[in-house]
Amino acid sequence: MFGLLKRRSLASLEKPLSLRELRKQTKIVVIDDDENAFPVKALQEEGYTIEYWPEVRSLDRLEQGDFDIIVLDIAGVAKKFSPEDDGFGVLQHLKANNPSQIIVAFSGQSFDLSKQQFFRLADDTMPKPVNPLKCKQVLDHLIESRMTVKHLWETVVAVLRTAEVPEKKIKQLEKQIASAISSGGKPDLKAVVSSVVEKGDLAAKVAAVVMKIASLFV
Amino acid sequence: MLDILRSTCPFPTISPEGDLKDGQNIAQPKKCLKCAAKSCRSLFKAVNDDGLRHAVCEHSYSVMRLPTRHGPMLINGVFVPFQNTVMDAPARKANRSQKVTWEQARGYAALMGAAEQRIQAEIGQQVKDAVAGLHDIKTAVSVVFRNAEAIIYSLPGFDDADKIDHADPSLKALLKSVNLLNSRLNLVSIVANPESASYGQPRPTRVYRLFHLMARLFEAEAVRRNVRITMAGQSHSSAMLHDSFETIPLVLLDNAVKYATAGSEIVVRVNDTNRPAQPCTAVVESIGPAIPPEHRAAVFERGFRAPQAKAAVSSGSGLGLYIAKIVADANNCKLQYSARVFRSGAEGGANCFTVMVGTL
Repeated sequence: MFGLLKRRSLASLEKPLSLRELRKQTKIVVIDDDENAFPVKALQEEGYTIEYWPEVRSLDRLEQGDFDIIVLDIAGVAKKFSPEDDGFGVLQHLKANNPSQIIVAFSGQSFDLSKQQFFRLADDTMPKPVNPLKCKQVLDHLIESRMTVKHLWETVVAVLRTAEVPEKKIKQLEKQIASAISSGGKPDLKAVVSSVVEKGDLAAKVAAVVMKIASLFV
Repeated sequence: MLDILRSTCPFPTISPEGDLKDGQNIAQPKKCLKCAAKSCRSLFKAVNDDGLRHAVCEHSYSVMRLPTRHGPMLINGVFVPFQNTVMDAPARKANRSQKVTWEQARGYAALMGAAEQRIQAEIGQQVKDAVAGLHDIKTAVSVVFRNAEAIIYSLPGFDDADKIDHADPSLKALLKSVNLLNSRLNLVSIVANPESASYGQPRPTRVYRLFHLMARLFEAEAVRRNVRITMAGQSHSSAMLHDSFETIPLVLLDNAVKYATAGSEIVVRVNDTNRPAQPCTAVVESIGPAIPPEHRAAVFERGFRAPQAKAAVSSGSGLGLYIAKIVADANNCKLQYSARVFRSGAEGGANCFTVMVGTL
């Protein structure tokens, strides 16, 4: 039994959740200076876990992966953190820090040629004005396609391969994470990652994604 | 743009279509005017890079291929000594009268590139200024959306779709109007920035449903114009499409309703093809002024309006089908126009627009 468990991949441990459960479990933050722009209340009533910020309240929370999906406006949301590029600066920073962070470009400025990078770098886009049906369509597609153990683990592997971590170590990490998660309780996954990935920055980046993987087993 | 650049060029030029234009300083060489082979045109296809290229045609004339952001053009009849030394004496003499050196062509290419950039920047700024107010309009539409939603969510019903289904007809009409306004705003965004047609992830999209929804948005206008929109065919397939795809049914139905003969029927037919690479085909057919054969090639060009369309409806920008084509390309779809003229010489006919989803 123990031997079987040891050989299991992370993806094989996944128990598929219903869309309703996934909606509830996926933490979303909408960052927009216009409180009318996104139908927060309507989607909360539909079972989504959504927080609304009129501007970037804490870059740290965004960096730490507190939210599974960030719906981000381009203007008037991050003057303190990125006076020049505003929302685009935040998007660039978060993507560089944690490539698995799902960010939706939420802007009515798709007509502006100078904002192309903002829309291209994001995982998806929601042009303003938007109705709840379109929001649900975009969010559900992201939740179903990205909030899976398989997808998140592939992101970890891509990050580790880019950093030229040997395949043997990647497999070792997967085994250890699978074992920690299967054991139940609240495993210290940051410590598990640090025991295999030596570089501090890389370990932090990987740990952020691994924590998201673990959240799918709660 | 290419025409503007060619008209300012001091040297004779040839377009990819084979059109010869005199330069500001030097006219077309007689040989080029008489040449039936036009082998120089093979340079358009043979070379595909960003550099200035030189070649010698079968009449021993030098040809320069100049890439521009709007397609390449050829400077022809250029004499370049080191390339043309094999020519006989009379030919060399004739060519010297048309002498343009490699350096001159290169100098012109640099000037033209800079001019093109400035023109492009100017156009970009003009477009930006023209659509600057668009953001404020979108913000205002957001407020209307939120207010309409607040009313809908206060209604009884299982979910939002159920609530809308059971809403008061006037509220439904309001929602339709706002959705139509929103879709039209997206059209403007695509004109200003064609790249935006491929923003976001492609999502599974029910093509039949999309055409059906759009047909419902146009119901009121169709009634006003005394035309009927009928959905036909059967399609259950989904295709991976960008949000911009909704622009295609919007434009096709808008045009059909605008130009259809009063009392006629617009038929939207969406059928599955049973081919995974091409899940379905949608056809919008309407009776009205058919586009004459000589104008059909230009149907999807920016600003094009057929004379019959202008005669039928005076207002119009000629941008709708141009945008629809951009969106079709961005979604790997094929958009085609065909016409059936009822009688020879008669103005009436059936205009048929076909979207083949997932093919290119």
